[in-house]
Amino acid sequence: MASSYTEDPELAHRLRQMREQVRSQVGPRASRAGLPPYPSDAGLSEPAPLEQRLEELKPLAAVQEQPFRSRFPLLGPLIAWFRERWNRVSTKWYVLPILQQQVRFNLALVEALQELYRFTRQTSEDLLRRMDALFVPLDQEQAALQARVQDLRETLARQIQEQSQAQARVLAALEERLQRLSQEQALDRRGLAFLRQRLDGLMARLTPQGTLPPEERPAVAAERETLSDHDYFRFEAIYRPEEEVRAEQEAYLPFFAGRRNVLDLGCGKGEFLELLRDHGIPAYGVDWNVQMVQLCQEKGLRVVREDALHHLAGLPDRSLGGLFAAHLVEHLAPQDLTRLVALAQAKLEPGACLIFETPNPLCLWALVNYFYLDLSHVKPLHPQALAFLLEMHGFREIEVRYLHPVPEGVRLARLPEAGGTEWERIAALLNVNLDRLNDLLYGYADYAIIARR
Amino acid sequence: MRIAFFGPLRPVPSGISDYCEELLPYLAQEAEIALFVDGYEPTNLLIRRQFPIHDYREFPQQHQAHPFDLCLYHMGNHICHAYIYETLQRYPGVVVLHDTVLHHFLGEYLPREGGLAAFLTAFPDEEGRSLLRRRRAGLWSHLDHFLYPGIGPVVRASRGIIVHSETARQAVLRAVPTARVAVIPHHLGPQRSPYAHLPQEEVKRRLGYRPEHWLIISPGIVTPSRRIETLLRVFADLLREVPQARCAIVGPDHPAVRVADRVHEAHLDGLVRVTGFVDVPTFQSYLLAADVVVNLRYPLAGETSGGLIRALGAGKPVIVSNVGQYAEFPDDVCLKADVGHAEEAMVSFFLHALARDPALGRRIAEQARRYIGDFHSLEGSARAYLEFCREVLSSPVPTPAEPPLGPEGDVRAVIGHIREEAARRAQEGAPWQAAGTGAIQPS
Repeated sequence: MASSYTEDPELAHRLRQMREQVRSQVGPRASRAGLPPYPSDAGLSEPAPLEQRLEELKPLAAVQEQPFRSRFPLLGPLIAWFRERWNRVSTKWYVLPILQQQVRFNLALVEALQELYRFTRQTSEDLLRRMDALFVPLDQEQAALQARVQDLRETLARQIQEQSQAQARVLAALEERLQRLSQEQALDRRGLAFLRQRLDGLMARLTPQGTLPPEERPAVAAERETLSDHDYFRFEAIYRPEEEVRAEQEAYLPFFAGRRNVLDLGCGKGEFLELLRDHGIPAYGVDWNVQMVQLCQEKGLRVVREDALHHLAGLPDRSLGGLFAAHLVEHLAPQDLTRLVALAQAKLEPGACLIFETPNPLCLWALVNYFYLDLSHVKPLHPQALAFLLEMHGFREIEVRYLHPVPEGVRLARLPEAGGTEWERIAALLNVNLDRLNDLLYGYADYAIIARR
Repeated sequence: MRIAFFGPLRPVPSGISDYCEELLPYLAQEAEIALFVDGYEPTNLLIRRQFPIHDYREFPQQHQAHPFDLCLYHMGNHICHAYIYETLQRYPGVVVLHDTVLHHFLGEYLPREGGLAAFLTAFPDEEGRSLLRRRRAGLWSHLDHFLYPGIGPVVRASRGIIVHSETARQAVLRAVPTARVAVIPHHLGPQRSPYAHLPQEEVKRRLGYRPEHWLIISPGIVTPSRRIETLLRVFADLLREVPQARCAIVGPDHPAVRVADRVHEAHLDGLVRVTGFVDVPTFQSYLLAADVVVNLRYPLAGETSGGLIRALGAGKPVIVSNVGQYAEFPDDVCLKADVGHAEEAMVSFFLHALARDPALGRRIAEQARRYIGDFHSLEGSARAYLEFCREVLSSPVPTPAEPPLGPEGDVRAVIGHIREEAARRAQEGAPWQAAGTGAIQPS
């Protein structure tokens, strides 16, 4: 079965445009007068040679008597006189009436021809005028109708396009909403399963009387801590989409190239572990969040659920080929941070890299919008403080990389410096100040500190 | 439903013959049909086997003995429809008006049958007098046929009119505003080319062309309206950019055109082939071989070209005149060239564009093929015919209008007017001077 016809608006538009292009090249037609003549018109509108010829014929119609002449020099006039006399006696009385009759006939004929010509010409011109009168309004009407039809077509096409766009927008919005709802539903389902599991754990620990034995209280408190940590999974899902994280962290790969046993502390959903795996770098992760660990394990990543410091402390010295911790250190209290750096120094093999990524407190906008958005953040870390800490623990080649510039639209706009000299000076001064404010308020949202053991 | 079918059949040399022969088997699926012809034996064996065929002069006896429910007439602008015109005047029925200009037919038929009086009946009121005046003065061109279409007598005598386009419907309503008109698109006939299964290059070879030839076809009878001279000029110009272009004019010649002479005058012998009349399978073979089809017509007689429908249905890019029923096709189905002063430039532009961009041609052709497949099917056409016939049958038979039906009645009525008019003009002066002032009043 052949597929059925649906209009191809793009093609129709293209063909209409081709037509318009030729029309504009050829130009409009003013009236029928500008056209090549129809077969019936041929000669009718030409200048009238016939009329001229008839006019020329008129003097010839009156036939005149011719005087007798002779070419002999002396006797000539005498010969002519004799001929004239003889003619008057012998032939003139007979020929002259015939001649006059011929003249009358000639004149009548020429006049009749002229009259006939005038009638024919008048009728022809009348007909031409009538034909023009018929064609010109028809042409105009046709052109007006064509323009109207074209106009209607374009209006209709525009309306259809607008409707389609509106429909597409609604569909896209619905699609996005549906996707978000599906994600949230998946998160909720996962969270629900997790809560049920924890609740079962709690219930099992409770005595039948509903009281809690003193020795169980620490365990229950730990469970409660875990329950609150469940929200962090959801927070990350919304504010740190996996694709974005993976794209951003790709820049760190060269620091771990050729290394073995790289540890991603606080690996979260395992984006960096995936990158390392995809590039053939053996690595594993540690995270305390049960859901994160489950998710990583579902992805086939090697991840253990353990406290970061506890895990590090348990590793053999110089056993790690690298250490990576994105958005972890700001969750630690100062003493835990110091301990982390010390343990890292002990557990990394010589030459191995350590990378911490954390929000940048030098950017007030990021501080307000990022850092304080996350309830589990403990303390913002100044890059110099962190660099000092690493240096104090023997790390070298310390480098700070500022990441994620605040979008340009958020920054304060600079003033135009063109204009009068006085204005130029003021604008330049204000711009220097605006730049300083921009740097303070709207610099880089994050930074990474990179150091080598 | 018992239908008396009046329409030309082969060997009558008309596209309407093919149309009727293609449609009849489909109509016969739901109707009992008898065919009435004008003293010839149809050559189509299948038609002869399937349908009873009578001479139209037997119709009154047949109808009296075993009445028909409806007469279905196929009327066109050619003298071969004379017996249909006559029968229609006596037995009103549904008329398929293949042309909305019948002047060429009437110009030949009326002087033979009823002379001046019948002529004035066909062209009543001011239209007729203006026409008569011009004819008497000998000032006449082929364009006048189109200004005075003369479909009034046919429409007034019918119980319902079928046309193939909205433009034709409007033309009928202009002539008789109260007419009952249905638009049934011209169907696409079945493919009968013996080369239908072959690739285009091979079909070209079989027709004597080389595969690399870029073939332009102009299908149909070569009347003066077919703009052949425009096509030849454009083709000659195209050859400079596309030297492998070839052209075939596929259809019978017309004495007013003498297409072979035109080709010779344009120094295009050997590059333009003039086939003359060809049968439907050969016609379709040429369409299969074509790279582009040029189907220009202006002025129009309200006809829908069967050849054009075949070309579009064959999936070929077609250039048509952007006027009347041809302008009704959607803009993505064919290339529509304006008539008038921009015609030549536009046809040339389209041909160059198609030669340079074959993908554009393929895209238009595919749209055309789908469009014709959807809206011009034989099944759909026959269904619409039968539906309209039933609708007409279910409505009351209209009272015959004055003057009475039949050319003789018209002649008698009008002769009286002519006498009165002649007497009055004789009193007023010369005939041509009085011609524009008098008015013939119906009795």
